[in-house]
Amino acid sequence: MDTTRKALDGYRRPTALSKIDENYARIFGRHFLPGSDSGLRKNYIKDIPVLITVDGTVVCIPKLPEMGLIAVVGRTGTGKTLNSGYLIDNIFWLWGDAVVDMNDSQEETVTWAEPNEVIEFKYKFRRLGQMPMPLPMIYVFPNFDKQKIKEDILRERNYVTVSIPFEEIINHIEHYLPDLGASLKYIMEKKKELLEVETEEDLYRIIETIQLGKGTESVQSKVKASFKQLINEGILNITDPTAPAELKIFDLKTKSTVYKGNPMTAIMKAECIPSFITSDLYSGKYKDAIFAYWIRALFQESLKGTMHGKRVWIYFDELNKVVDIKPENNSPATERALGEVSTRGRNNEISMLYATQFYHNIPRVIRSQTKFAVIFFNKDPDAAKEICGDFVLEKKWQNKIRELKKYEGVVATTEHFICYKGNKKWEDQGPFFGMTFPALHKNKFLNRTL
Amino acid sequence: MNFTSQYLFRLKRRILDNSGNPIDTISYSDEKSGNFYVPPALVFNIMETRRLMKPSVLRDSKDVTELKDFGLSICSIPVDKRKKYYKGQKDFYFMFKTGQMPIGAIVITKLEGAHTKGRHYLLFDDANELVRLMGPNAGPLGEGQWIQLEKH
Repeated sequence: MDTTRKALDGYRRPTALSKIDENYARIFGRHFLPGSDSGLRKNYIKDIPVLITVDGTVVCIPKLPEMGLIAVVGRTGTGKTLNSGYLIDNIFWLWGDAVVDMNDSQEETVTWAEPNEVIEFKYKFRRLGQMPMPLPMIYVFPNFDKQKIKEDILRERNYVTVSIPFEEIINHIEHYLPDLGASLKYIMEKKKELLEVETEEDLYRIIETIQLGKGTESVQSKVKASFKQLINEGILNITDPTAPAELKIFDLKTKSTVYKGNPMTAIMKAECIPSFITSDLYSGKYKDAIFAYWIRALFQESLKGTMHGKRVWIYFDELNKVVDIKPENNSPATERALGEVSTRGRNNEISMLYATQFYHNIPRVIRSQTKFAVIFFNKDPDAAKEICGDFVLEKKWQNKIRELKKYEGVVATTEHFICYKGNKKWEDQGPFFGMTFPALHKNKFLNRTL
Repeated sequence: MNFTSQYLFRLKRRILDNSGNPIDTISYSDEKSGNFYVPPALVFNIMETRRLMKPSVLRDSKDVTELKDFGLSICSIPVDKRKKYYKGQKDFYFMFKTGQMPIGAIVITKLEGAHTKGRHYLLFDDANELVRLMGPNAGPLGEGQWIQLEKH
């Protein structure tokens, strides 16, 4: 656990019994203690609980030196998002890891900065002695003309609009201007000069100097129009200071800059959770390029060891909206970037937690690296078969998945779970069936007033 | 209530743009949030963890050598004024692990000997592998504590 996070009032230090009770028990014997305390002890869990079985065994995901991917699979309304919320709460507060929500397509995370006050769920937290707890969220909007910042819902919330760095667009110009085709090679000849551009006028002046061969004027105007469109759509930002491509973290205690660079990493360096609002991104043609850039940037920061030993968890709700094996929903650049995180992230302190309704449509490279799965109701026999196949579950579990009720789940792993019951602790490979835990933070849809 | 602003204020870190200017949409608040994270814990009753006992199979014995395999010895200890069971008591009889006897203890090698005068005996519970010393001054009512038999 990070010491800075512990020092805040957001963390209560665990104690088995109060100091007075311990001394009293030592001198007079434990049976002299007040009735409520005399025989009760607390067994603090360092692993993340995912499920409680019928016999009261708490099944937990252990913190391994090389964490793989965690999947939360199930149909909508079965408890998938609530359970992934609980995993995020505990990854952040209990393990002290950094979390980034990369796909908030329904602006769900706006309520995450408030505690979960649903009475039914409060009783469920009591089972593990926990209390409702909000998360320190900062909402990140991509600089994009179609992205609407809903200021009414963001009142009393912290948010920032960020741009993609100019260098990134020039270095991967083929992703942002795919219509230019063969003309791109002429632009690439002027790459060095383009990278030094400071104003829009400079950019157009350099484009005018590009030797394009036959039909120079028409191609030049096409290139100019494409860049103008990028600027108008807000993707290419050269001069607008309200949408920075980098953020700076300043520490008041040491009076020094802790970090300057990628906005997502910067927010994580400030011990907060960035939530990337992508509600209007799906309609845009730059969806693939934008997702791929942010994932690649997070991976590059992890390779550099920017987080100093803290594991970064990238959370994707509805991963199928980002990558899918179906050609019509396919995002090749994002799939490549996520494939890199899945395969090489384990050793480079970057992991992924994803929730999906259609596990069978997730690319193979991601599925093969998934080590833990929390499975909710899924009536599709193909989906149940695929999940059971990946986690080597017997056929009876396929039927079980199709019979699950709301908030009931099955957990499976290719590693092992840690189980707790009373003061006993043991390793088990599962699978297990039981009730899942709800998020400690507020859920947008369950707290909606009718 | 803005939890993030309160959290950022206590963390003493500021999020600035790339030129080092504050961002308008990120605020800091010195109010206390009143929210605490409590790590997950299982509350259990220590009574639940006690071993389930089998129906006892009791037998008496006066053979002290039976304790030898389990590393136990019977000792006579001079009485402590504050802890004696009755007025005029001179000694206690307890079982200790061999080598862990208190200072001043006398090891009893025979229950028929001069010290115990045949009034003491060992009560074994073979089903639960327990033993206790019975007889005067072995406990307040003449019954010593049950001790688990564990082979060395």
